[in-house]
Amino acid sequence: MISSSVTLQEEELVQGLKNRQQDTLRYVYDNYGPALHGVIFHIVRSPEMAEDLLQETFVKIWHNINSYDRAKGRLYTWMLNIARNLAIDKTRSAEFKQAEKTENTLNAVYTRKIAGDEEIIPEHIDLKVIVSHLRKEQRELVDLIYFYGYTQAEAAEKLKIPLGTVKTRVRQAIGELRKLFQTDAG
Amino acid sequence: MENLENYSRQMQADAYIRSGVLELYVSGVLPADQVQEVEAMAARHPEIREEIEKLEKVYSRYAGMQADFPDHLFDSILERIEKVPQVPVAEPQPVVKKLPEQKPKPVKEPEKKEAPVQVKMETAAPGFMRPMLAAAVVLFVLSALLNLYLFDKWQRGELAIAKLEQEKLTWNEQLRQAEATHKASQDMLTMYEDTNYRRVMMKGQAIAPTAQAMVFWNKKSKKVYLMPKNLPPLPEGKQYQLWAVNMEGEPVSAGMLPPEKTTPDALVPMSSISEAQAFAVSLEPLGGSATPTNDAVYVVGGI
Repeated sequence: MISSSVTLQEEELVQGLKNRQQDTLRYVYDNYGPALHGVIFHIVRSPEMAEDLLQETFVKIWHNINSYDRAKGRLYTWMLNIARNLAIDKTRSAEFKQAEKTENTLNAVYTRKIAGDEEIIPEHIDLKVIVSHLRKEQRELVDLIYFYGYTQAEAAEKLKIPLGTVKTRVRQAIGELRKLFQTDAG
Repeated sequence: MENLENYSRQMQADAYIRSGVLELYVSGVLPADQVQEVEAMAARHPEIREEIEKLEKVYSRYAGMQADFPDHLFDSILERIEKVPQVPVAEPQPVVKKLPEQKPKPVKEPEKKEAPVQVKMETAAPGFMRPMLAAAVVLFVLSALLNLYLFDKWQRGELAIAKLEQEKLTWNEQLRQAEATHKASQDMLTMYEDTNYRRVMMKGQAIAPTAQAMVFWNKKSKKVYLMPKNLPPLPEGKQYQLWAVNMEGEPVSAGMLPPEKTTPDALVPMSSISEAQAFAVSLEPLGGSATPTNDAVYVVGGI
């Protein structure tokens, strides 16, 4: 989980990566890895591909850190774009289209929370619960924008909704997520 | 007055947060100019910066929930990193083996390894070993020189690669900028087509009869864009300020036009405005004024 003083830490992380410090990369992997992996997995739906792409993402982060510029936005967003682009490119590959034929769907995600496992599950809220609480149109929109990187205009076009609705609906959807996460923290 | 200013500033921050633009920002789907706008707002309003951080956490958690994190991959990542040729190879020897000038090398190798042995034996039996030692030292020196020469060549190769990588990044950057410009054009088109946006044409006043500018105002989202179509060049120490005249007839500042935004068809994001019956642009000292300078109003347009 990203800790609260992220802005300061982001600068330290960028510097550490530019200085080629492996412990910094480790920190990034531990703290940002789960989110990046989640985005990749959401797109490719295969654990093996997601693992491979996650590694590729970190290699790219390491090698391209010098082209990261604070003026372009947050480090997190920059890394998110790298992960996302790799995943989307993968879905256009022949290999992926072949794999798509196998039934590797949402079921894999839902059954991930193993019942009777002694391990402490970090997320108390099941993804299923989240999915059932968000309205379909909210979930779709978060999907397009957050996972697939659709812009406001692209999402509006795809879902056939007005431009302004995109922003308000995304705000509502994330608001719902926040409420759900807060109740879990208790 | 101070409380009012603070209150007004907070209202602006709240409205900005409620608009949903930060969700788009954190998702990385905003064009470059809007990213800058968000960052400017975050710099000015700590509550906006805080909200951005909270949103990142929510997003990050939601993404993390999508699958179990494979937390054992770090070593594998390091291996992959090492495979990509960016860090100089520790042993020049393997590189040396690939090159065609290599024929003498296999002969030299055993000689080089023997050199330290020869040196040791030197102390034990000097006369007998001396010519061999001399030969070994000569070969060692030659080998070292060859290594230096080849290392230099290799290093130049690495520099060339690094330069190409840099060029590639520059191309990528240019492509990104072109894409950003394209998106900006698309946004403008959307603005024209979106019926929520009112277009207000502002006409030149007595001091500049041919001046022109346009405002796009979305009453629902309160977003305002200024298009500086034909405003006179700025004198030193001054910049243009946009005003919205509210329903009570009072001018409310809608922000400053950054001096570098001079392209006639640029869509410059300004401050949010909830009500207006007219818009105007005046020339003010850098940083703006609390109320418009009456005889420096260049363009005015009514809704």
